[in-house]
Amino acid sequence: MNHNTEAAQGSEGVTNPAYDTQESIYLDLLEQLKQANSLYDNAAVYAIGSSDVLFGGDVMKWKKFTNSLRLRVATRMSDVAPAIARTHIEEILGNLSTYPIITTNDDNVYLWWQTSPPYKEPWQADSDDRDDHGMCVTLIDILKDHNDPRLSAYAKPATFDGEYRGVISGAMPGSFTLSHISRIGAWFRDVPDGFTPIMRAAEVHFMIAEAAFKTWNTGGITAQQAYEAGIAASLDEYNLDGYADYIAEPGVAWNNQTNQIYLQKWICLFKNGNEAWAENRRTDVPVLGHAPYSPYTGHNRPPFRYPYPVSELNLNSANITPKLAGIVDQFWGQQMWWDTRTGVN
Amino acid sequence: MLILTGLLLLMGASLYGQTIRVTGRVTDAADGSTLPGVSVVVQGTTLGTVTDINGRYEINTPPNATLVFSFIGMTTREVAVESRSVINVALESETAILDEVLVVAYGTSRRGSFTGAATQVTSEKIESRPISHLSRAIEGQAAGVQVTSGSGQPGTGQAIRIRGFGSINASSAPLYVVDGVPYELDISNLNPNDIESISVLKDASATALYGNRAANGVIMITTKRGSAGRSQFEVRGTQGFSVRGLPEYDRADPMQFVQMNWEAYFNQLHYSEGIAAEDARLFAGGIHPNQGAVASLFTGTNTGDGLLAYNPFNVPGNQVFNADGTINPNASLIYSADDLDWAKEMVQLGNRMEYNVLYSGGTARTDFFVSGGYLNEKGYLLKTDFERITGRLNVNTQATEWFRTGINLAANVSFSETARDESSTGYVNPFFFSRNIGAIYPVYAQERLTGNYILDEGGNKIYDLGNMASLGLPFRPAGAFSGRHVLAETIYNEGDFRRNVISGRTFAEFKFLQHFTFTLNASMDVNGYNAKSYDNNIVGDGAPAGRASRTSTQTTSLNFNQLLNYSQRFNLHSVDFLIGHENFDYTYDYLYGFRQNIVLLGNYELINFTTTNSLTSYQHNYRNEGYLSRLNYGYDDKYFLSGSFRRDGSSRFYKDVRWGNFWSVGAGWRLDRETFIQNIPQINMLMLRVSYGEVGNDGLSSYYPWQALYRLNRNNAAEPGFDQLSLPSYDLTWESNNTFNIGLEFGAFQRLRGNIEWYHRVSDDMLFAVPLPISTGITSRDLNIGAMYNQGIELRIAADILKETAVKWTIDVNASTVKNKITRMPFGPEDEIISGTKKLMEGRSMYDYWLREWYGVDPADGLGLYRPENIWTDDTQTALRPDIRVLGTDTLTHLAANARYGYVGSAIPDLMGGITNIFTYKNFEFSILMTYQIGGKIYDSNYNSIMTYSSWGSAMHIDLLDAWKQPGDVTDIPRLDPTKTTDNNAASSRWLIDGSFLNLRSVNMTYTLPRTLTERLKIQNARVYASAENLFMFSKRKGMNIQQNFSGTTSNTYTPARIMTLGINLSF
Repeated sequence: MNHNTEAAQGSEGVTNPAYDTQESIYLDLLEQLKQANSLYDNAAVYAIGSSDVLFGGDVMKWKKFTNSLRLRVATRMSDVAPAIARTHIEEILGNLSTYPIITTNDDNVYLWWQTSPPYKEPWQADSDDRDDHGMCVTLIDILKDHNDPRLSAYAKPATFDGEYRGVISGAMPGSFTLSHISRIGAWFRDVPDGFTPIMRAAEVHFMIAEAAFKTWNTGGITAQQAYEAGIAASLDEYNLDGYADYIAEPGVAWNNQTNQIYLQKWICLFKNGNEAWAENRRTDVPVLGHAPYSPYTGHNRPPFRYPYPVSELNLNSANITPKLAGIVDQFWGQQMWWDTRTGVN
Repeated sequence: MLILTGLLLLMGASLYGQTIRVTGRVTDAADGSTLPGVSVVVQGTTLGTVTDINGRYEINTPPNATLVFSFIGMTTREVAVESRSVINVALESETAILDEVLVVAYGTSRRGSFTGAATQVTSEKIESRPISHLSRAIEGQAAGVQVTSGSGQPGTGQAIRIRGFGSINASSAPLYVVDGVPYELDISNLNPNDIESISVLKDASATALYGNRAANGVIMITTKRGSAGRSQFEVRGTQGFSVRGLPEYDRADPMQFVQMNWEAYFNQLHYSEGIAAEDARLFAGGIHPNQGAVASLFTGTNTGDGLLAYNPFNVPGNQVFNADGTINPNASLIYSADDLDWAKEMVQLGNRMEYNVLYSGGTARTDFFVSGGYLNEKGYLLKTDFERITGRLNVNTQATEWFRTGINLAANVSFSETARDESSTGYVNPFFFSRNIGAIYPVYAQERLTGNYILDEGGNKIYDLGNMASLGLPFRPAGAFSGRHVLAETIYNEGDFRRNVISGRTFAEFKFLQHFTFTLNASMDVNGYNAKSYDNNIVGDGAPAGRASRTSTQTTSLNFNQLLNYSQRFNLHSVDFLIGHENFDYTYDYLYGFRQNIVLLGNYELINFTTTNSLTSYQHNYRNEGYLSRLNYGYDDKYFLSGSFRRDGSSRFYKDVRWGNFWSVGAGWRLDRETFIQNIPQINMLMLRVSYGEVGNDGLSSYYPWQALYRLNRNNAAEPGFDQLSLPSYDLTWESNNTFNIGLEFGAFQRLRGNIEWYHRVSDDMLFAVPLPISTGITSRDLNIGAMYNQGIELRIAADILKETAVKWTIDVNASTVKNKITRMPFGPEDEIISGTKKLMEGRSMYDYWLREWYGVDPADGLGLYRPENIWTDDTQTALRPDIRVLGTDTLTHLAANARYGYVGSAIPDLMGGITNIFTYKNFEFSILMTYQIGGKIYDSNYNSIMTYSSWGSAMHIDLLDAWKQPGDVTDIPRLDPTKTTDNNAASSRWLIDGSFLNLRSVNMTYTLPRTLTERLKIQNARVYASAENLFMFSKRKGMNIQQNFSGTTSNTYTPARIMTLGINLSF
């Protein structure tokens, strides 16, 4: 549930905005994104200057981002409202000239930072003061099991023995020795003018693969084609060879399983944590357990949702309290509208 | 027979030769009428006479005797004959106090018929004190007035609060009115020698005519006028010097500092890191056989210089300590006390020089007053001063019988260099730096082991910036500000301002139909202010590029009013009716430019810098319009009623709600004119006053709070942008203040006089920024939603303890109490707002401390203990949390994070006021003003910072010598241990201390030259005086600046100065 229609209207006198349903917001987003696509064409009115930090004013890239975002919104709701999702996805994939999408890494929507403060890439800026993290064992093990070439890009070998070793989620400080575990790879944490990924080509390919798998009209692309294109795009981001070997790996080689699409998508979304978390909640792939040292006990999955801010609970309680029904331990209890998993708590 | 006559004649002649004949006339000082029946006696004899029907007398008296004039109902006067033959005397009524003319809103009033509460400070009390800013003249003189100590910066004043604190979020400062017009400029523009009187108006009856600006009281300043027939030419000069007024806190000297540092490191190694005591001792001293890479105070760490980096001894770092931790007896300090005294380097002997020339006089029709003054005051801190040139011309003329007009023009130019104490923890703040740097760091570069000064090519000492590896010196550690040097920065930086002011008041007064007076008043105050600052490129915040800024402001305030007055006396009735209208207009223009990257050294103009960092300007506008009226009615000079009303509109509020009605009613009863009181001879005067009224406070910080505000200057490179700062507030209005006052003026036994008042002042519709849910897009909005009251008693008693003796002694005491209580918070009785060390809640005062509750120190391990918030690990209450300790019957915690917060006292004193003692002996007058406070607590942050040793190299207070050292020690100072400071020294009630004080505020000794001497020099009057301010402060802790602010906290600001001057006044 979220705000949409009554939000940010303090100056019109709305000091206690009511909440809208997630469904209404998602539908509204789809419509707005569709409309936005047509607005770009009116260059005279909507020309974007060169101060545009994402694309430097390249309108075509904005169009591709807009439509890919619509794909993402539709994909997200494709399990809970398949008919509407299908309409939007087919409309885009069937009219790529009207609705261009991100297809290559050149179109990636990455925010590129600057070399000096205060605009250094945030993970790198953090590394100036802190050095107490580790890569998660779930991801490391998946990458190792499939001999994934991205292992060397995502993580660094442990300084102790050169092995790749992950840490369990939520490990207690002191329960592992920094020299024995893998740290985040240089691509992601050591480059001051590095990037923050917002949307990447690989993700789009996997969305097409999923639509194709559902036998929706993707303009002729098959699930396998899109699946392999996604893997290729992801490897290409880090200039990695070994695509051919990787595609042939058991577990990676296309076997007509949606779970393969979901897993590869989850892997390719590294550093776009929000999107990976959302997809994981939608698809439950891979199965992530509950952090063993969490103060909240009795759960078998990572959190379902982010809690509402305390100021809303204090200052807008009339509107928010009814919406809190069913929420357990602040993060669980209520699944998102598009989270159709069962047997999770 | 002949011989006998001869002898008699001789005796007679000699007797005759020993007396002179003195004549004169005795009049009533109030109206000049002659007084018959006045007894005139030669003091110490029975020789006397009585004035005749014309008030004249004739008496034979020795030429050096004193004549005593007395009359019932009048104050007795003694006049030295001094060989004069004509002595005229004016006697004052004993109820002289009630004849005092008070300057009140839109006019004057006799105190005996005034129903409001007001105190007046006249020029005699001001003119021989070394005061540069008039606000300093009020402290201790008026009951119910609380002040801050102000800063030692020359040319600055004190913040004033009248009768408690009127507001939480809007202004609590009183309104200044100069010559009848609200004054928005800096009070340091006024030359105290120009001032005739200062009236402090305290209750609604006195202030209601200032409508929506009157809630916090009014301070009325009136300048001098000439008077007909009294021509006077006066020259005044004073010269003095100033030093620091409050000493520094007692800090450890170098030997104590080194010793305590060893102790701190030992504690860290042994108690916190678990190293065996024997080993810890040796490691701390740097003499352990396996020292290896383990750092000690003077050895090890990356640079090899140790934790303290600077070794102040003439032996190497590993020879400073013995095995038991004592200092090697052969080690002696290589630095002298002066080498290490940062404060002393920053200080100069302050200097104060002031010259004034005043001449006034007049004919029957025209009077004039002219003055010119020059003040040059150098503060005791380097590069701080205040220089001011003032001039004033006040001319009034009765042009025709029915038309009077006048003009009062003043101009001044001020120039001041200011200290950089704008941030309490800025490295460039001289007090922060010199107070908090460790005891072993020298100001100038000195060689290791020998202490020889390292000199530059010119043979001069070099500032030791604490990072001068090229000179072979270590880097000062984190607690000793490596790379910064407050003396160098003060010398190289620049910061000053210039101010030009013109003020004018003019009026036209028309009298018609015998009882009516119509007056037009117009005034203008114009202020141009120009400030410069330069941060040098060598050391400090401006390094390495160098940066400079200019601030230029222009303030113009205009006032115009029209007043119609009807005044009539018939039978026993007296009626005064006033009706009027006023407009006030205020404009403030601000321009600021800031550039960095200096091109050529020595030129601090903006043109000499390459990059513009900021260039901005804005303007403030404010208008106020009011319709006012007042009715004063008196019957038989015994019963008085008054009422006033003002309808005021302020531009700060939306047009539908900006007009408000402010009013007051008051009554007075002259009990001393009732026969039943007149029959009691001991009572000289008695007057009862009661008043009630409502006034407003529109002193909000924004000039346009009713409008939705958008922030400009939020641009993204070249792309413009602005965002919304606040919502519109069409309902927002002023805070209102309702005051009830009851007072009694009394005089008894011909020696005692004073007044006692009780007031209850309710602040309502108080402004609060009420938070909004983030989903609205704005974080908060302002609402008139709170309420609070202030209530107290004021007492003033003046007693002539020694009156008819050679040495006279009068003591004047005032005392006041303030009780402040919040009665309504925005979200109701459960609402709480935590602000710094205070928490605002219904039922509490504005300045109630809300802090962790400190308990003491655990004798077992020296950790600090607090009352705990949580005791058990979970709700089953079976297991204690690991941080809980039980000592006797007390359950405590050593973690600051688990400490319980509570209300632990208030900053508001129980009693405060002033005591003035005046001694007179012949031509000498000696007066002492002391100010005091009893009760109230101070949160001493400055003490906290030098009692907390968290970074190596920062200063230590000598109280740390009593820190816990071994198990079993019972003390209230936790063990010295840099790893435990977060918990041991957290903000808590530990830092509260009783704020009672007695301050020797002003001492003045005046000698008036005898008339015989002055007449010979053709001088009308000559006075010589010595005066001192802030001589001594008795308080519970040395160095603590108790009156720093009303909320009771201390910070690093320019400590007030002690000023001593000698002066001479000559009038011709």
